[in-house]
Amino acid sequence: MKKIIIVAAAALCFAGNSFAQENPGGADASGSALGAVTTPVIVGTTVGLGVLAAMVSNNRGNSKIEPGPGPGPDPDPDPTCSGSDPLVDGVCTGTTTTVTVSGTGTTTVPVTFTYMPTV
Amino acid sequence: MNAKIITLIALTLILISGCSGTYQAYYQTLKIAFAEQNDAKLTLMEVQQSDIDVMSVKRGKRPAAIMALAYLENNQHKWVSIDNTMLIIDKGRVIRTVGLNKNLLHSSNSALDPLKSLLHPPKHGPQEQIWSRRVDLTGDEYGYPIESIFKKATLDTVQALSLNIEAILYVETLNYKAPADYLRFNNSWQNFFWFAKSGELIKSIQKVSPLSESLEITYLSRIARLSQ
Repeated sequence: MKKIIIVAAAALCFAGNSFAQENPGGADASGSALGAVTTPVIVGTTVGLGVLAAMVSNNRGNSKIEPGPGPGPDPDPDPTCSGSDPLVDGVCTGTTTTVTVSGTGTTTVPVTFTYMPTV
Repeated sequence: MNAKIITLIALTLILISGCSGTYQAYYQTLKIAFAEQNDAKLTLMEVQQSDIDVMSVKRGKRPAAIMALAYLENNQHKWVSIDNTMLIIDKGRVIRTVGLNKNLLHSSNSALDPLKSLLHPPKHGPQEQIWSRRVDLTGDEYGYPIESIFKKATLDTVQALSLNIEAILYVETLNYKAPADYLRFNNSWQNFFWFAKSGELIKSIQKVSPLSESLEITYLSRIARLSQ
């Protein structure tokens, strides 16, 4: 019985020692760490093949120059009236004559009309 | 015109064309791709002078990093890295990970893990120890059964901190027992555990699932203490 107790005590001592030697650093432990565990892995051969493909593609391709933007629509075009009609205050004024025949003779009356200019 | 001058002009033109933006971009890309990434290393003296326990961790093909022991809780060692990852290790077995792209959330039946009794096997026990557990992983992968078989140990040498340490190597063969709806070729893999003759685990190479990257862990502070 004594032997068992001694062996158990010795085992407990060893178990205690194995932990007592370890030194945890708590929340500041990462200050003693170096290097990253999650570094992305770059596969060199894959990148090399990609660059090679890019070189071949670039050398074979044509440099297509896209035409630049054209003059485009006039942002504020001038309104025009038909013929020689004048444009007054954004409205065209036209003139026509009306011929009236009566018993005493023929009368010609000028008549003016307005219309919107074409843009 | 002199042949030398023509050659010089041609050479200059070639060299100038190499300075163009496109070729510089190719060059820089290749330079980054093939640049050698260096392992984080500590000397024996640096490890001995460290107030906090440190270990070296090489994850997959990445350069090795140094992780520091943050907490000892419930017999679990919690190691942290500078990029805020954490490995939670129970008697040498990674039972949980935090901060990796795919994490081990839980590993069951850890009380019966043979790693805890490998160095003190029953005298008339079997030559092989079999252990079953289930693991939960991120990505809604829960309850995957894994069966382990530990074989009889062999003697080996661990090299670290410019030291050669005689060690006892245990090889664990793991089988992934989960059925799959697709072809899977890597159902089986091996983990390796090196114990110093004093009984301390000093190195391990282990994977938490068949598709995860291997973790090569070297316990630098333990090795430094052994050398004293």
